[in-house]
Amino acid sequence: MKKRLRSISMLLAATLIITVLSGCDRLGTELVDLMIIQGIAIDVTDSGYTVCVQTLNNAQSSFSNGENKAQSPSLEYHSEGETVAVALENAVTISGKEPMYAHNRIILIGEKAAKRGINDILDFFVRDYNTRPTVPIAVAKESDAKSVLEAKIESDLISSVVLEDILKRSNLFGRAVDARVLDTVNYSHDTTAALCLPAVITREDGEYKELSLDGTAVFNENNCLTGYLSDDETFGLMLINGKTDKGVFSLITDNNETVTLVMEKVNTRVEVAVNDEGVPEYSVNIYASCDVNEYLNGRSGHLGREAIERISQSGAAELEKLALASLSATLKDLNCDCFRFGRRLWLSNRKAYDGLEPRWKSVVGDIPYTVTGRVTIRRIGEESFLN
Amino acid sequence: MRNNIISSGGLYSIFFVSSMTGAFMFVSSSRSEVANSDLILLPLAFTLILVITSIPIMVYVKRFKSVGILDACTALSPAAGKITALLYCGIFILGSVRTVSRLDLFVSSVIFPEVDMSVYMLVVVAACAFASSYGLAALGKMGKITAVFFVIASVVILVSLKGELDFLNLTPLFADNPSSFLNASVLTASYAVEVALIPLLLPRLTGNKVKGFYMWLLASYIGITVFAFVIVTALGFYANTQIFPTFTLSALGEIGLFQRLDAIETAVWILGIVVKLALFLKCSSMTLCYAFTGMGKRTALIICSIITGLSVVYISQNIMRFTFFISPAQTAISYGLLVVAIPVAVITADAIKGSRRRYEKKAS
Repeated sequence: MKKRLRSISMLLAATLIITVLSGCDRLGTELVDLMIIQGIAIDVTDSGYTVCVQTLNNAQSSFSNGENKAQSPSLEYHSEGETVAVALENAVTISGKEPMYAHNRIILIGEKAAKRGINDILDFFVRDYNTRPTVPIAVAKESDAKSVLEAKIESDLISSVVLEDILKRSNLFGRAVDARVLDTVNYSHDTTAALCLPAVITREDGEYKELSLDGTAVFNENNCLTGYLSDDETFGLMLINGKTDKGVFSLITDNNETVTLVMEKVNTRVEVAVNDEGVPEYSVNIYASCDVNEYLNGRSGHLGREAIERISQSGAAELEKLALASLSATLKDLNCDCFRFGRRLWLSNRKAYDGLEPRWKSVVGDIPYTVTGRVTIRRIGEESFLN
Repeated sequence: MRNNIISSGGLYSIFFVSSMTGAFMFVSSSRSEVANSDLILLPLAFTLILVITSIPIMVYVKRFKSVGILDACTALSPAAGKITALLYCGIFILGSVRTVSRLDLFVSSVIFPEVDMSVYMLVVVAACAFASSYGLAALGKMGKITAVFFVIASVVILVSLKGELDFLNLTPLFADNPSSFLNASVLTASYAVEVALIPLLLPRLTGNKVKGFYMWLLASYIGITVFAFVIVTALGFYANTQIFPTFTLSALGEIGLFQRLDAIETAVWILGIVVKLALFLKCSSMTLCYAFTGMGKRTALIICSIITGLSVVYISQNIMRFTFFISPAQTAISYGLLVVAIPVAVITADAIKGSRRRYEKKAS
């Protein structure tokens, strides 16, 4: 009897749990009634913010063959509010659907909004339970975010998806900084480091527009946009910060050979030493293991030992050039520490850091540094072998 | 009767699950910085505090062999036995409420903020009460299985975060005031009130009690240190902004096609809570029976479960009520009473009584 009672109570409990507690609180919501957010563009007005929320067009993808060419794959909702949270809530009200932030692929910030500062923009994305810390953030260079997100690209593509792919791929190859919500919060709270976000633009491409990466947006100590780095300067930044394993660059050797190298492994070491005057001196050592992807010398493609030696030396010089250009652009031109030099000093020599931290902004432009590059050629391709 | 005997392996597995649940459910508060390298040293500090403060319990175990602390108190004075039983009952109900309230805070902050989870918490308490009715032996076995799940889940999550570690997120040691580190160490150690179960369950505990105790401390120390290291290096300052940093950490992880491994953590976490809560409810009902002779086991279990459930529902409505349950004063006093004061008092009283008996024997 006791055993039977136990079985019955367990069955009842299981039924209760399966029917009432399984799934999520959206159990009764149809897919078409969900606002599956793909991208959020944020711009500023005089009194607050405007947002453009790009969502999946659920009706389009609910056709039996999976798609309806007559409709766009995405929908955009626009709204305004005094804060980002209110503006987003208003967009939800316009759509009449339940928002789902978990699938958001990108947060795009307009240039004006970035200049005003991103601290107030970030809070919602840090606090809200439904948003993810891994969503990438980018700045719409020289335009508002809405026009980039709404850019008319090929009809069956969603701009948020394209932008996410561009950022991921470019980050892998050292052309875009890794700037997720998580990284953005970390950099924006570092008192000496400057926040860097990838900058994106639109280009005319006949009937459609083309989305493209265009360097890096650099923020000052108040987390307001202060300037941009070019593509090559961004590559140098990524090399120094050790944030890239791959990358492609071309060079011209002393013998006028044009060579394209593909990096297969990069190892960067940044060392800091404080001199007698209490000034920190940084030495950056970049080591890259590369494959020769292209070798143009006007004749045959045979590579000898001497040629490989030349390529290694020129490759090292090219890496040094890229790193020095990036250091000069950020430290001297923009007066920003994108390399976390301050933090590196804090970790290695706290006393020196404590003395410099309050006036870091004024000393950052005069920081002495040296860069040493080293390149090893790992493979030379299929064409012939050493002769 | 065999249902009420627990192996030391089973008990210390539950202790391990309890410590890891604490690390998984680590609530970041404004009292101390999370994104700080001190966090990596914290497990070492609180493990040392646990080792030192548990000396009275280890002495008790050596001296009393298989006499439970309540029986030892009763032998000294029947009233003292009942008061101690009530103290144990109250503090373990407090521990149960703290555990379920943390789960409630987690679910209603991170999983379903729009939904009132009170009913769900009552279901959890009821399920744990039901599980505890199976006896200590079953709980011990469940503890061992859950400990294995915890280790597997932790390894999966940590491996998935390999690419996220950034050593520049470390900070110099003791960059803040060292006294805040000491306070945090004492506070974290005081959460391990389950140590007090060793002298309570002594008559029902089989196997090597002392060796198991140190093995548990070592395993917990390693596990929590690894998590602390990954929290600091992978999350950086972002950890300070998150109420449940360990959960945020698991949300970052991905292995191949599998993303957002937070589901794994949530599952093992709830399993861990069930095991811990079932043991706490079992022990609080046992001590309630001891305090009120004649009270049925089932009645005591129902009373303890109802008090826990109602308290959780009451706390759920206001975040300020929750802060009481993680307040240093409350946890430190509870821990100090059960782990230090009572065993020291019993050992001292017994020693005095023994020497008096020897003196009287000699005199006669």
